[in-house]
Amino acid sequence: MKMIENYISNVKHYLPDDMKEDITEELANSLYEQIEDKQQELGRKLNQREQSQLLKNMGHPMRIAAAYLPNQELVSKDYFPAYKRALEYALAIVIGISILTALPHIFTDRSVIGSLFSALFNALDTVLYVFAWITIVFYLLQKWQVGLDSIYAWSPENLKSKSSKLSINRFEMLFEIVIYSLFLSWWNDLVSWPSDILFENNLLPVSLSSEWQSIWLIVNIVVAASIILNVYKLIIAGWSKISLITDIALNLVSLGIIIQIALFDQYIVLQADKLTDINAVELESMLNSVVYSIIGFIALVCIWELYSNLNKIKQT
Amino acid sequence: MGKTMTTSDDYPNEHYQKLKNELRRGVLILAVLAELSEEHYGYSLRKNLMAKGLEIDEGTLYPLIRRLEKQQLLTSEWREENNRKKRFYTLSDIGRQTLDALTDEWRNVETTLNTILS
Repeated sequence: MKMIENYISNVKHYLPDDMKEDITEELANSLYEQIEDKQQELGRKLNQREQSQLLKNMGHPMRIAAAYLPNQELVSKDYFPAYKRALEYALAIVIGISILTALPHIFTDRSVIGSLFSALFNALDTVLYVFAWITIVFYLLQKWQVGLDSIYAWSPENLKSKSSKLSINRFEMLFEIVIYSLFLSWWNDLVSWPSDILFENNLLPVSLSSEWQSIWLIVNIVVAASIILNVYKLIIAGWSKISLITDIALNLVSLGIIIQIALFDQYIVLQADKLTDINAVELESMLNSVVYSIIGFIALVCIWELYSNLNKIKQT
Repeated sequence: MGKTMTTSDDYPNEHYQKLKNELRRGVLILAVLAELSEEHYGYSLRKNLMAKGLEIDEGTLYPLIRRLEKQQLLTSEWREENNRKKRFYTLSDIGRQTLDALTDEWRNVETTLNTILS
Protein backbone atom coordinates (compact mmCIF):
# COMPACT_ATOMS: atom_id res chain seq x y z
CA MET A 1 0.00 0.00 0.00
CA LYS A 2 3.07 2.24 0.04
CA MET A 3 2.36 3.19 -3.59
CA ILE A 4 -1.19 4.27 -2.74
CA GLU A 5 0.04 6.34 0.21
CA ASN A 6 2.64 7.99 -2.01
CA TYR A 7 -0.01 8.76 -4.60
CA ILE A 8 -2.32 10.32 -2.04
CA SER A 9 0.52 12.36 -0.53
CA ASN A 10 1.36 13.65 -4.01
CA VAL A 11 -2.23 14.73 -4.69
CA LYS A 12 -2.21 16.40 -1.26
CA HIS A 13 0.97 18.25 -2.14
CA TYR A 14 -0.67 19.90 -5.17
CA LEU A 15 -3.82 21.00 -3.30
CA PRO A 16 -4.26 24.27 -1.41
CA ASP A 17 -4.04 23.95 2.39
CA ASP A 18 -7.75 24.42 3.04
CA MET A 19 -8.63 21.52 0.71
CA LYS A 20 -5.84 19.06 1.53
CA GLU A 21 -7.40 16.95 4.32
CA ASP A 22 -10.93 16.86 3.01
CA ILE A 23 -10.14 15.84 -0.54
CA THR A 24 -7.34 13.39 0.14
CA GLU A 25 -9.40 11.58 2.78
CA GLU A 26 -12.26 11.14 0.33
CA LEU A 27 -9.88 10.08 -2.45
CA ALA A 28 -7.97 7.67 -0.22
CA ASN A 29 -11.16 6.02 1.03
CA SER A 30 -12.38 5.65 -2.52
CA LEU A 31 -9.09 4.08 -3.61
CA TYR A 32 -8.95 1.63 -0.72
CA GLU A 33 -12.56 0.63 -1.26
CA GLN A 34 -11.86 0.10 -4.94
CA ILE A 35 -8.89 -2.10 -4.08
CA GLU A 36 -11.00 -4.09 -1.62
CA ASP A 37 -13.66 -4.63 -4.29
CA LYS A 38 -11.06 -5.80 -6.79
CA GLN A 39 -9.46 -8.11 -4.25
CA GLN A 40 -12.83 -9.62 -3.39
CA GLU A 41 -13.51 -10.12 -7.09
CA LEU A 42 -10.13 -11.81 -7.67
CA GLY A 43 -10.06 -13.66 -4.34
CA ARG A 44 -6.51 -12.47 -3.65
CA LYS A 45 -4.51 -9.35 -2.88
CA LEU A 46 -3.65 -6.95 -5.70
CA ASN A 47 -0.03 -7.17 -6.76
CA GLN A 48 2.24 -4.19 -7.36
CA ARG A 49 1.52 -4.08 -11.10
CA GLU A 50 -2.25 -4.09 -10.56
CA GLN A 51 -2.03 -1.37 -7.95
CA SER A 52 0.14 0.64 -10.29
CA GLN A 53 -2.38 0.21 -13.12
CA LEU A 54 -5.21 1.35 -10.86
CA LEU A 55 -3.31 4.53 -10.01
CA LYS A 56 -2.36 5.05 -13.64
CA ASN A 57 -6.06 4.93 -14.49
CA MET A 58 -6.71 7.66 -11.92
CA GLY A 59 -4.28 10.03 -13.62
CA HIS A 60 -1.29 12.15 -12.63
CA PRO A 61 -1.62 13.51 -9.06
CA MET A 62 -1.09 17.04 -10.35
CA ARG A 63 -4.00 16.69 -12.78
CA ILE A 64 -6.25 15.13 -10.16
CA ALA A 65 -5.52 18.01 -7.78
CA ALA A 66 -5.95 20.58 -10.55
CA ALA A 67 -9.42 19.26 -11.37
CA TYR A 68 -10.60 20.43 -7.92
CA LEU A 69 -9.38 23.97 -8.47
CA PRO A 70 -11.28 26.71 -10.24
CA ASN A 71 -9.71 28.99 -12.84
CA GLN A 72 -7.23 26.62 -14.44
CA GLU A 73 -6.34 28.97 -17.28
CA LEU A 74 -4.01 31.93 -17.26
CA VAL A 75 -6.27 33.61 -19.80
CA SER A 76 -9.64 31.99 -20.48
CA LYS A 77 -11.09 31.67 -23.96
CA ASP A 78 -13.51 34.56 -23.31
CA TYR A 79 -10.65 36.95 -22.69
CA PHE A 80 -8.15 35.40 -25.09
CA PRO A 81 -9.05 37.32 -28.31
CA ALA A 82 -8.69 40.64 -26.47
CA TYR A 83 -5.51 39.42 -24.75
CA LYS A 84 -3.96 38.44 -28.10
CA ARG A 85 -4.90 41.81 -29.61
CA ALA A 86 -3.48 43.69 -26.61
CA LEU A 87 -0.24 41.72 -26.93
CA GLU A 88 0.00 42.51 -30.64
CA TYR A 89 -0.48 46.25 -30.04
CA ALA A 90 1.88 46.38 -27.08
CA LEU A 91 4.62 44.35 -28.75
CA ALA A 92 4.37 46.42 -31.94
CA ILE A 93 4.76 49.62 -29.86
CA VAL A 94 7.68 48.16 -27.89
CA ILE A 95 9.49 46.93 -31.01
CA GLY A 96 8.90 50.21 -32.87
CA ILE A 97 10.16 52.32 -29.94
CA SER A 98 13.10 49.96 -29.35
CA ILE A 99 14.25 50.36 -32.96
CA LEU A 100 13.90 54.15 -32.87
CA THR A 101 15.75 54.54 -29.58
CA ALA A 102 18.45 52.02 -30.47
CA LEU A 103 19.37 53.44 -33.88
CA PRO A 104 21.42 56.46 -32.67
CA HIS A 105 23.48 54.17 -30.39
CA ILE A 106 24.03 51.61 -33.14
CA PHE A 107 25.53 54.22 -35.43
CA THR A 108 27.49 56.17 -32.86
CA ASP A 109 28.96 53.31 -30.81
CA ARG A 110 32.36 51.93 -31.75
CA SER A 111 31.16 48.40 -32.28
CA VAL A 112 28.08 48.32 -34.50
CA ILE A 113 27.61 44.56 -34.04
CA GLY A 114 28.01 44.86 -30.25
CA SER A 115 25.50 47.68 -29.98
CA LEU A 116 23.15 45.81 -32.34
CA PHE A 117 23.16 42.78 -30.04
CA SER A 118 22.82 44.98 -26.99
CA ALA A 119 19.79 46.70 -28.58
CA LEU A 120 18.31 43.31 -29.48
CA PHE A 121 18.64 41.96 -25.94
CA ASN A 122 17.26 45.18 -24.46
CA ALA A 123 14.26 44.94 -26.78
CA LEU A 124 13.79 41.26 -25.88
CA ASP A 125 13.99 42.13 -22.20
CA THR A 126 11.29 44.79 -22.57
CA VAL A 127 9.15 42.48 -24.71
CA LEU A 128 9.24 39.82 -21.98
CA TYR A 129 8.24 42.35 -19.31
CA VAL A 130 5.37 43.63 -21.45
CA PHE A 131 4.26 40.06 -22.18
CA ALA A 132 4.31 39.20 -18.48
CA TRP A 133 2.44 42.33 -17.39
CA ILE A 134 -0.29 41.99 -19.98
CA THR A 135 -0.74 38.33 -19.04
CA ILE A 136 -0.99 39.27 -15.35
CA VAL A 137 -3.55 42.01 -16.07
CA PHE A 138 -5.72 39.63 -18.11
CA TYR A 139 -5.34 36.86 -15.53
CA LEU A 140 -6.65 39.21 -12.85
CA LEU A 141 -9.46 40.49 -15.10
CA GLN A 142 -10.73 36.97 -15.72
CA LYS A 143 -10.15 35.90 -12.12
CA TRP A 144 -12.42 38.70 -10.92
CA GLN A 145 -14.67 38.34 -13.97
CA VAL A 146 -14.50 42.04 -14.79
CA GLY A 147 -14.05 44.15 -17.87
CA LEU A 148 -15.51 41.68 -20.37
CA ASP A 149 -18.34 44.03 -21.40
CA SER A 150 -16.02 47.03 -21.74
CA ILE A 151 -13.41 45.03 -23.66
CA TYR A 152 -15.97 43.79 -26.17
CA ALA A 153 -18.10 46.95 -26.24
CA TRP A 154 -19.22 47.38 -29.84
CA SER A 155 -22.05 48.39 -32.10
CA PRO A 156 -22.72 47.18 -35.65
CA GLU A 157 -22.99 50.83 -36.78
CA ASN A 158 -19.43 51.64 -35.67
CA LEU A 159 -17.75 48.57 -37.16
CA LYS A 160 -15.12 49.60 -39.69
CA SER A 161 -14.22 47.66 -42.80
CA LYS A 162 -11.48 45.08 -42.28
CA SER A 163 -10.93 44.44 -45.95
CA SER A 164 -7.68 42.59 -46.69
CA LYS A 165 -6.76 45.49 -49.00
CA LEU A 166 -6.66 47.72 -45.90
CA SER A 167 -4.51 45.39 -43.83
CA ILE A 168 -0.79 45.99 -43.44
CA ASN A 169 1.94 43.44 -42.93
CA ARG A 170 3.77 44.39 -39.72
CA PHE A 171 7.04 42.90 -40.94
CA GLU A 172 6.97 45.16 -44.01
CA MET A 173 6.36 48.16 -41.75
CA LEU A 174 9.27 47.17 -39.55
CA PHE A 175 11.47 46.88 -42.62
CA GLU A 176 10.38 50.32 -43.87
CA ILE A 177 11.06 51.89 -40.47
CA VAL A 178 14.59 50.48 -40.49
CA ILE A 179 15.24 51.68 -44.06
CA TYR A 180 13.87 55.19 -43.35
CA SER A 181 15.89 55.37 -40.14
CA LEU A 182 19.07 54.32 -41.96
CA PHE A 183 18.42 56.94 -44.62
CA LEU A 184 17.77 59.63 -42.00
CA SER A 185 20.99 58.70 -40.20
CA TRP A 186 22.96 58.96 -43.44
CA TRP A 187 21.21 62.19 -44.47
CA ASN A 188 22.28 63.78 -41.19
CA ASP A 189 25.85 62.46 -41.36
CA LEU A 190 25.37 60.01 -38.50
CA VAL A 191 26.68 57.27 -40.76
CA SER A 192 28.93 57.52 -43.76
CA TRP A 193 28.99 55.42 -46.90
CA PRO A 194 32.20 54.62 -48.82
CA SER A 195 32.37 57.65 -51.10
CA ASP A 196 35.31 56.92 -53.35
CA ILE A 197 35.12 55.39 -56.79
CA LEU A 198 38.01 53.42 -58.22
CA PHE A 199 38.62 54.85 -61.67
CA GLU A 200 41.71 54.11 -63.79
CA ASN A 201 43.66 53.10 -60.69
CA ASN A 202 42.69 56.35 -58.95
CA LEU A 203 40.30 56.69 -56.03
CA LEU A 204 37.96 59.53 -56.96
CA PRO A 205 36.12 61.10 -53.99
CA VAL A 206 32.41 61.44 -54.70
CA SER A 207 30.09 63.86 -52.92
CA LEU A 208 26.62 65.30 -53.29
CA SER A 209 26.36 68.67 -55.00
CA SER A 210 25.71 71.74 -52.86
CA GLU A 211 22.18 72.01 -54.32
CA TRP A 212 21.03 69.19 -52.03
CA GLN A 213 21.45 71.60 -49.08
CA SER A 214 18.30 73.43 -50.19
CA ILE A 215 16.12 70.38 -49.47
CA TRP A 216 17.94 69.15 -46.35
CA LEU A 217 15.28 70.34 -43.87
CA ILE A 218 12.18 69.32 -45.84
CA VAL A 219 13.61 65.82 -46.49
CA ASN A 220 14.26 65.47 -42.75
CA ILE A 221 10.68 66.48 -41.98
CA VAL A 222 9.15 64.15 -44.61
CA VAL A 223 11.26 61.11 -43.61
CA ALA A 224 10.73 61.69 -39.88
CA ALA A 225 6.98 62.03 -40.48
CA SER A 226 7.07 58.81 -42.55
CA ILE A 227 8.78 56.97 -39.67
CA ILE A 228 6.15 58.19 -37.20
CA LEU A 229 3.37 57.20 -39.62
CA ASN A 230 4.93 53.76 -40.10
CA VAL A 231 5.15 53.22 -36.34
CA TYR A 232 1.42 54.04 -36.18
CA LYS A 233 0.75 51.61 -39.05
CA LEU A 234 2.92 48.99 -37.32
CA ILE A 235 0.71 49.25 -34.24
CA ILE A 236 -2.64 49.31 -36.04
CA ALA A 237 -1.55 46.79 -38.72
CA GLY A 238 -4.06 48.35 -41.09
CA TRP A 239 -4.93 51.51 -42.97
CA SER A 240 -7.20 54.11 -41.42
CA LYS A 241 -8.56 57.30 -42.98
CA ILE A 242 -6.05 59.39 -41.00
CA SER A 243 -3.06 57.28 -42.03
CA LEU A 244 -4.17 57.28 -45.67
CA ILE A 245 -4.63 61.07 -45.77
CA THR A 246 -1.26 61.57 -44.06
CA ASP A 247 0.39 59.16 -46.47
CA ILE A 248 -1.16 60.94 -49.47
CA ALA A 249 0.04 64.30 -48.11
CA LEU A 250 3.56 62.93 -47.59
CA ASN A 251 3.61 61.48 -51.11
CA LEU A 252 2.51 64.83 -52.58
CA VAL A 253 5.24 66.65 -50.66
CA SER A 254 7.74 63.98 -51.75
CA LEU A 255 6.74 64.51 -55.38
CA GLY A 256 7.27 68.26 -54.89
CA ILE A 257 10.75 67.56 -53.51
CA ILE A 258 11.51 65.20 -56.41
CA ILE A 259 10.52 67.88 -58.93
CA GLN A 260 12.84 70.28 -57.15
CA ILE A 261 15.65 67.67 -57.27
CA ALA A 262 14.99 67.04 -60.94
CA LEU A 263 15.72 70.70 -61.58
CA PHE A 264 19.20 70.48 -60.01
CA ASP A 265 22.08 71.14 -62.42
CA GLN A 266 24.15 68.41 -60.84
CA TYR A 267 23.59 65.67 -58.28
CA ILE A 268 27.01 64.09 -57.84
CA VAL A 269 30.36 65.83 -57.88
CA LEU A 270 33.67 64.12 -58.45
CA GLN A 271 36.63 65.96 -56.92
CA ALA A 272 37.46 68.80 -59.39
CA ASP A 273 41.26 68.41 -59.69
CA LYS A 274 40.83 64.77 -60.69
CA LEU A 275 38.59 65.63 -63.61
CA THR A 276 41.32 66.34 -66.13
CA ASP A 277 40.68 63.07 -67.82
CA ILE A 278 37.82 63.21 -70.30
CA ASN A 279 36.73 59.73 -69.17
CA ALA A 280 36.35 61.00 -65.61
CA VAL A 281 34.01 63.72 -66.86
CA GLU A 282 31.99 61.06 -68.61
CA LEU A 283 31.93 59.03 -65.38
CA GLU A 284 30.56 62.02 -63.50
CA SER A 285 27.91 62.51 -66.14
CA MET A 286 27.01 58.82 -65.98
CA LEU A 287 26.71 58.93 -62.16
CA ASN A 288 24.40 61.92 -62.46
CA SER A 289 22.26 60.00 -64.94
CA VAL A 290 22.07 57.07 -62.49
CA VAL A 291 20.91 59.39 -59.70
CA TYR A 292 18.42 60.99 -62.09
CA SER A 293 17.04 57.53 -62.92
CA ILE A 294 16.78 56.63 -59.23
CA ILE A 295 14.92 59.88 -58.57
CA GLY A 296 12.62 59.05 -61.49
CA PHE A 297 11.99 55.59 -60.05
CA ILE A 298 11.18 57.06 -56.61
CA ALA A 299 8.76 59.48 -58.34
CA LEU A 300 7.01 56.51 -59.98
CA VAL A 301 6.74 54.74 -56.60
CA CYS A 302 5.21 57.91 -55.09
CA ILE A 303 2.69 58.17 -57.94
CA TRP A 304 1.78 54.48 -57.58
CA GLU A 305 1.33 54.89 -53.81
CA LEU A 306 -0.83 57.98 -54.38
CA TYR A 307 -3.04 56.05 -56.79
CA SER A 308 -3.24 53.02 -54.50
CA ASN A 309 -4.00 55.15 -51.41
CA LEU A 310 -6.72 57.07 -53.23
CA ASN A 311 -8.34 53.72 -54.08
CA LYS A 312 -8.04 52.56 -50.47
CA ILE A 313 -9.57 55.74 -49.11
CA LYS A 314 -12.80 54.90 -50.95
CA GLN A 315 -13.06 51.69 -48.91
CA THR A 316 -12.62 53.29 -45.49
CA MET B 1 -35.33 2.40 -39.74
CA GLY B 2 -32.69 1.04 -42.12
CA LYS B 3 -29.89 3.03 -40.50
CA THR B 4 -26.77 1.42 -39.13
CA MET B 5 -25.46 2.54 -35.78
CA THR B 6 -21.98 4.01 -35.89
CA THR B 7 -19.92 3.16 -32.83
CA SER B 8 -16.62 4.38 -31.45
CA ASP B 9 -15.05 1.17 -32.75
CA ASP B 10 -15.79 2.28 -36.31
CA TYR B 11 -13.97 5.58 -35.79
CA PRO B 12 -11.42 4.87 -33.10
CA ASN B 13 -9.66 8.14 -33.67
CA GLU B 14 -8.87 10.98 -31.32
CA HIS B 15 -11.41 13.36 -32.92
CA TYR B 16 -14.21 10.92 -32.30
CA GLN B 17 -13.11 10.48 -28.68
CA LYS B 18 -13.09 14.25 -28.17
CA LEU B 19 -16.53 14.64 -29.72
CA LYS B 20 -17.89 11.77 -27.62
CA ASN B 21 -16.41 13.25 -24.43
CA GLU B 22 -17.91 16.65 -25.23
CA LEU B 23 -21.31 15.10 -25.83
CA ARG B 24 -21.15 13.15 -22.58
CA ARG B 25 -19.84 16.05 -20.53
CA GLY B 26 -23.10 17.92 -20.95
CA VAL B 27 -25.23 15.08 -19.65
CA LEU B 28 -22.95 14.07 -16.75
CA ILE B 29 -24.31 16.75 -14.45
CA LEU B 30 -27.86 15.64 -15.06
CA ALA B 31 -26.93 12.01 -14.42
CA VAL B 32 -25.07 12.86 -11.20
CA LEU B 33 -27.88 15.04 -9.90
CA ALA B 34 -30.44 12.35 -10.71
CA GLU B 35 -28.40 9.68 -9.00
CA LEU B 36 -27.95 11.85 -5.94
CA SER B 37 -31.69 11.93 -5.35
CA GLU B 38 -30.56 9.13 -3.06
CA GLU B 39 -27.66 9.64 -0.69
CA HIS B 40 -24.27 8.42 -1.91
CA TYR B 41 -20.60 8.79 -1.11
CA GLY B 42 -18.16 9.28 -3.98
CA TYR B 43 -17.24 5.70 -4.69
CA SER B 44 -20.79 4.33 -4.31
CA LEU B 45 -22.04 7.04 -6.67
CA ARG B 46 -19.46 6.06 -9.26
CA LYS B 47 -20.31 2.36 -8.89
CA ASN B 48 -24.01 3.09 -9.31
CA LEU B 49 -23.45 5.21 -12.40
CA MET B 50 -21.21 2.55 -13.90
CA ALA B 51 -23.73 -0.18 -13.12
CA LYS B 52 -26.26 1.84 -15.11
CA GLY B 53 -23.85 2.14 -18.02
CA LEU B 54 -22.29 5.56 -17.43
CA GLU B 55 -18.51 5.25 -17.28
CA ILE B 56 -16.91 8.10 -15.37
CA ASP B 57 -13.47 8.31 -13.82
CA GLU B 58 -12.76 9.54 -10.31
CA GLY B 59 -10.74 12.47 -11.61
CA THR B 60 -13.89 13.82 -13.24
CA LEU B 61 -16.59 12.73 -10.83
CA TYR B 62 -15.17 13.84 -7.49
CA PRO B 63 -14.27 17.39 -8.56
CA LEU B 64 -17.69 17.62 -10.25
CA ILE B 65 -19.61 16.77 -7.08
CA ARG B 66 -17.48 19.28 -5.17
CA ARG B 67 -18.41 21.95 -7.69
CA LEU B 68 -22.08 21.05 -7.50
CA GLU B 69 -21.89 21.28 -3.72
CA LYS B 70 -20.23 24.68 -3.99
CA GLN B 71 -23.08 25.76 -6.23
CA GLN B 72 -25.42 24.68 -3.40
CA LEU B 73 -27.04 21.96 -5.48
CA LEU B 74 -25.78 19.29 -3.07
CA THR B 75 -25.34 18.98 0.65
CA SER B 76 -22.82 16.69 2.28
CA GLU B 77 -21.81 15.28 5.62
CA TRP B 78 -18.96 13.11 6.89
CA ARG B 79 -20.06 9.85 8.52
CA GLU B 80 -18.33 6.68 9.56
CA GLU B 81 -19.32 3.49 7.79
CA ASN B 82 -17.50 0.15 7.99
CA ASN B 83 -14.73 1.77 10.06
CA ARG B 84 -14.12 4.30 7.32
CA LYS B 85 -14.98 7.99 7.23
CA LYS B 86 -17.04 8.78 4.15
CA ARG B 87 -18.51 11.94 2.78
CA PHE B 88 -22.14 11.43 1.84
CA TYR B 89 -23.80 13.66 -0.73
CA THR B 90 -27.44 14.28 -1.48
CA LEU B 91 -29.51 16.83 -3.39
CA SER B 92 -30.33 20.09 -1.66
CA ASP B 93 -33.68 21.82 -2.23
CA ILE B 94 -32.10 23.98 -4.91
CA GLY B 95 -30.55 20.84 -6.38
CA ARG B 96 -33.92 19.14 -6.55
CA GLN B 97 -35.50 22.12 -8.34
CA THR B 98 -32.52 22.29 -10.69
CA LEU B 99 -32.79 18.56 -11.41
CA ASP B 100 -36.49 18.98 -12.31
CA ALA B 101 -35.74 21.93 -14.58
CA LEU B 102 -32.80 20.16 -16.23
CA THR B 103 -34.85 17.00 -16.70
CA ASP B 104 -37.53 19.03 -18.55
CA GLU B 105 -34.81 20.62 -20.61
CA TRP B 106 -33.31 17.22 -21.37
CA ARG B 107 -36.68 15.93 -22.56
CA ASN B 108 -37.01 18.96 -24.87
CA VAL B 109 -33.52 18.42 -26.25
CA GLU B 110 -34.20 14.72 -26.69
CA THR B 111 -37.44 15.38 -28.58
CA THR B 112 -35.79 18.00 -30.77
CA LEU B 113 -32.80 15.80 -31.49
CA ASN B 114 -34.98 12.82 -32.25
CA THR B 115 -36.85 14.95 -34.77
CA ILE B 116 -33.58 16.13 -36.32
CA LEU B 117 -32.03 12.67 -36.36
CA SER B 118 -35.05 10.81 -37.67
